[in-house]
Amino acid sequence: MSVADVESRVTTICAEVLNRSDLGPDDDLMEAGMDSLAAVEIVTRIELAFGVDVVDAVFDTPTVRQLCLVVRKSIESAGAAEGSDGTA
Amino acid sequence: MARPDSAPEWGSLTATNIAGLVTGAAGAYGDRPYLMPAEPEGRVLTFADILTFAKGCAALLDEHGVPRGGRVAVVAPNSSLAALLFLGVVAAQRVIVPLNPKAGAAELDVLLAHARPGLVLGRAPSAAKLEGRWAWLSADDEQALLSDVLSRGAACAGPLPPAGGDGTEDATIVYTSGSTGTPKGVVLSHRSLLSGSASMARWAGADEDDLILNVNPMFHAGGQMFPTLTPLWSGGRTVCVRSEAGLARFWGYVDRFEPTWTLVVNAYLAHLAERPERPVSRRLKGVLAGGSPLSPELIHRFEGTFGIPVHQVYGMTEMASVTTVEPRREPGDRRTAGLPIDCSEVRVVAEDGSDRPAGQNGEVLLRGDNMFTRYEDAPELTERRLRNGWIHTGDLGQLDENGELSIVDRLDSMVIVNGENMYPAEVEGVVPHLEGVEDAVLVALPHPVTGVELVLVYTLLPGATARADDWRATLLKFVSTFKVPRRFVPLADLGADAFPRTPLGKIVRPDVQRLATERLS
Repeated sequence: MSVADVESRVTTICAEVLNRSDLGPDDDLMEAGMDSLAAVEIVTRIELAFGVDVVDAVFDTPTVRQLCLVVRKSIESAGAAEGSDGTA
Repeated sequence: MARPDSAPEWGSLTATNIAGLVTGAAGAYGDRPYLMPAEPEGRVLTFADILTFAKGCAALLDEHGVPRGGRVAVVAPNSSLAALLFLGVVAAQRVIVPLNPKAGAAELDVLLAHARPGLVLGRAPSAAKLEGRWAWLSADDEQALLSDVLSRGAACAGPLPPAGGDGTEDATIVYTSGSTGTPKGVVLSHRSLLSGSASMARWAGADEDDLILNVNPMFHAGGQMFPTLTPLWSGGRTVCVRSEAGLARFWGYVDRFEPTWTLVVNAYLAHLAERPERPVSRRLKGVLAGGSPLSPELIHRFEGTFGIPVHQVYGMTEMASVTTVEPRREPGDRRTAGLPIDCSEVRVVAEDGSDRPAGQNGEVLLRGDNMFTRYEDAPELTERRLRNGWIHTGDLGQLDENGELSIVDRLDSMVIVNGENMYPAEVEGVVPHLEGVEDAVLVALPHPVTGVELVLVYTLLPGATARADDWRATLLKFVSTFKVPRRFVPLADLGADAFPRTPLGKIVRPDVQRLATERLS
């Protein structure tokens, strides 16, 4: 999955949950109205989409860009592990 | 009240202060596990390790020049380290001031200036808010700090420095919202925390098989007393996870750690009952739930869905959290906030101070060995709330014929959001900083999960336009996240041209609240 794909899907998830049409990659999600329930919803949808847990990031560094970073790192390390098993 | 003049005890342990409990537990339970790590890189810590950690804290704080009785602020979300620092700092006879890392920079400044700690521990985002104004110790690498303190402790031969005293010494200052927007620091003594936690051990019949899942912040007494201290009495285990992660991963934690008890704010029950996840573990004996009134319908739905009993609790920071607990019920029984724990007493009184008969409303008064010492640096407030030895809670309630308490309402404007107290004045005090806003009133609308949703009803200055995003950003600088209104609604949307006012020009909040409830719910 490309960097742009991840960013586009994470942006869509956050924008839908927060009911925003104009969410930039560096917008603070708290300032965009994310409360703890919205955060749980975002965490759940990202896990469904990518199988990645962003629960710490969503509270510590709440921007689309930072969430994407966590998702990509996790996908890459999973990919590397599969590669080393020779299963990829 | 159970033996008011004797030291708190449970099982084989008696302790007059936290150092005594940590030392006693290390002696009685030694190499048994106490703290289960939720962190991927974490390690299980035994009762003996907790004593070592406390010794290490004493050495660390000596080195940083924080004297006994001095204050140490910890600005951190829940983690194994947060639980350890609470125990370690207090057992080292310093006073811990745990603060919400989600507090705005301005709010943190005010609280630190009020508490005057000799050292502040926290992570980089909090450090950035404080801009070097306080002696700072980084807790960014939690495992490194944990190992460092443990190795300092291991290097100390001999026992913890003896505490002396009778347990009335300050253990922690827990900040809660005040009606005027000024900080309200609730000072809890060693005795208060020990009495409450030993009473809870007796209530639960706690033993070495018990494990408490702690999803209450350590910056609330609710995280300190039952989830952290009760297992020290009983030889049980605790796991300390951040509240938001607890909400998102509740059943995941339940299946991973197999807790026997947990204490949650009511929002958890509503949230979990709506979601499809179900636990595999059958070890939960009950969920204690409190923080705001809970509908019997929701309790029954939760119990029916998960087969886990819910026990309502009632309490306040000034009573080191839990003060009454609901007894075990048969399905379909009437539900209440329960009976006082065995170190506490409850009265319900009329305005003239006389006790109300069963079934009649009055103000709820509390006292007990678990009660607070004072509000820090606020003698007048202490005198107002603590009269003739009873805490005047400001809650309207009633007792039934069995002495069980039900809470009916608040006597003042306090609002409970997701289990956290706040007063509209805290947000309204920031209104002069909101560009273009002339006047604004904070109202609370019913919300199925969080209890209430905060809405700021505003009027604009002539020519100004609404700027909700800017207002939200400004509010986040001043107040904690949970206090920031979810919605901003112009007064005109409530069908009014001007705020209703008293003859002296003060806005009549109940009228605005009523209008908003009619128009917006």
